[in-house]
Amino acid sequence: MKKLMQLEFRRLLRAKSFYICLAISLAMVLITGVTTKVILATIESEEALSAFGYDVNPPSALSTMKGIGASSLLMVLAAFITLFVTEDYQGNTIKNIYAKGYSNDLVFFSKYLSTLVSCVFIVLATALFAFFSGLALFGEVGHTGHFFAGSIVAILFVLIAYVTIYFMVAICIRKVGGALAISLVGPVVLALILMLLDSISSKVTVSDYWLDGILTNLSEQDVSGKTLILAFTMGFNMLAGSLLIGFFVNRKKDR
Amino acid sequence: MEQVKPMETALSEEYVIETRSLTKRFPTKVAVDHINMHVKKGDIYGLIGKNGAGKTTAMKLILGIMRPSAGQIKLFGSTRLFKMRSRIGSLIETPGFYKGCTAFENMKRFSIVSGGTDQEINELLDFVGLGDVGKKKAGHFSLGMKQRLGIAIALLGNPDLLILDEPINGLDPTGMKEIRDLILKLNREKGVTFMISSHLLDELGKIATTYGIINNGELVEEITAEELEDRCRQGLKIAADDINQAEAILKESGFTDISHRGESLLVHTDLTRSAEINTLLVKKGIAVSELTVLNYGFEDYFIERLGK
Repeated sequence: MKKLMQLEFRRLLRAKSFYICLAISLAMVLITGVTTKVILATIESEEALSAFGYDVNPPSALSTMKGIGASSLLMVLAAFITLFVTEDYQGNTIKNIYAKGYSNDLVFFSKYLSTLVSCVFIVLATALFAFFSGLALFGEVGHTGHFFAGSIVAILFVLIAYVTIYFMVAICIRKVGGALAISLVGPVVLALILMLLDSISSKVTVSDYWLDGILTNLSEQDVSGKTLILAFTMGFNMLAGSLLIGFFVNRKKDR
Repeated sequence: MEQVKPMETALSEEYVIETRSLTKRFPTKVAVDHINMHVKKGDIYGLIGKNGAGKTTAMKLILGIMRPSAGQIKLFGSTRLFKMRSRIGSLIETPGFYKGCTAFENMKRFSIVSGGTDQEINELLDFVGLGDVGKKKAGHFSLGMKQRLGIAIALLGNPDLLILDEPINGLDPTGMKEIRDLILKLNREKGVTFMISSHLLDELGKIATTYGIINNGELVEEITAEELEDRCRQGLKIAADDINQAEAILKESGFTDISHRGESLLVHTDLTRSAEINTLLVKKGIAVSELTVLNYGFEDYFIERLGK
């Protein structure tokens, strides 16, 4: 396992996709921040300010940081995970590893752990960059609101759940095209289905229970205890479910 | 069809590779069908078969790249396969390497799981003729260079057994000779055991000490190079109305080196004695329908065994 992890991290540190995805993620934060700043500068009426919600929660360093979960970061993570995980299967290098006596399970966990570490790094770097770019653009740290620390941990946890879902797709499909299509198009289709369900159901907002909706709610300044519980419950379910599916599908597959 | 020699009740410890009833079934075909394979330490085992005969699948099963549907594998006398596979180097189908990396970086990465220092990596690259490729990405290598890199990767960590699937594919005649010399050198000087598949019978014939003939997933025969040579000797092929009687007459007259080849006899003797043999048989009342000099080659033998 130690040797496999060494190999994965050597691969990671020399993977162009890692640095490109990190750069895109940071650039998207900056572009979003600048766009917000421009919109804010052009708004003249109180009504328009209210429509964007800037009357109650004006943009700040903290709001920019908390907003990364509901941004394009997920797409970037999906692309990076797919490229990183499928590389060994696409290039047939995986057989050199299996032929050295490493089991499916060891390969699975070494890939999962290295993916997790790299994605947590991307998320934390993006969050830090979002904080400082938010501070530079809006000049305010902002208010922490209710359950600030809890909501930060919850955002990270939900993002880890997403990482696990993308990892599961990549390890099951093993082809970059198919895995990328499912990871990028899947959430869009799911969002449409949830929107449809929301329009049908008058009592429950179904989309609030999916990870996307939870991330949006967590990005608010004040987060409710219910949202936090929902984030950890759904995050855990998705993480554990994806990990188990990926583990057993990978175990059953020929190498 | 000749039967593969029967297995002992327990897998023996004298073999580097031993399989019992090894089987791989796919939904539409049985790729490997109950094969009992025996590769002794120090062997250069040539696995021969037509395209799709099951050579690569058999190798993948031994290496753990595929899971067997049934059967047993023993490596280096042990059934602890994961541990034993660390002693094997392999090149299966197309070489697996990182296209965007240099030859050295590829070797460096695989040395993490296979073993090998930077110095050994450089020596191996020199050995396979890739010592001067510098920063060129492996994805831009020619077919021959890719094959050489695949072999270099297989040699990482000084393996005791090398399993090479069509290792000379894409190599020019000089490259083929170099790889052949390399195999012989490793086999003789370091005692490395080889299992090699190839459809280039002449090339395989120059190095193999044992052959496994595989057809439609079945191991038709395992035969040593000496046995094969014996069977491929030049001889007089005699077709007659009573083969057994003819054989008895010839033996009485001092022709002792006689073998059966289908419905004919093969007399390994001085070929100038064909007239003498014909006269002898006819005088004894045997109707000889064919008496020809047979140059029974290596290739002819395999084609016959593969049922063509």
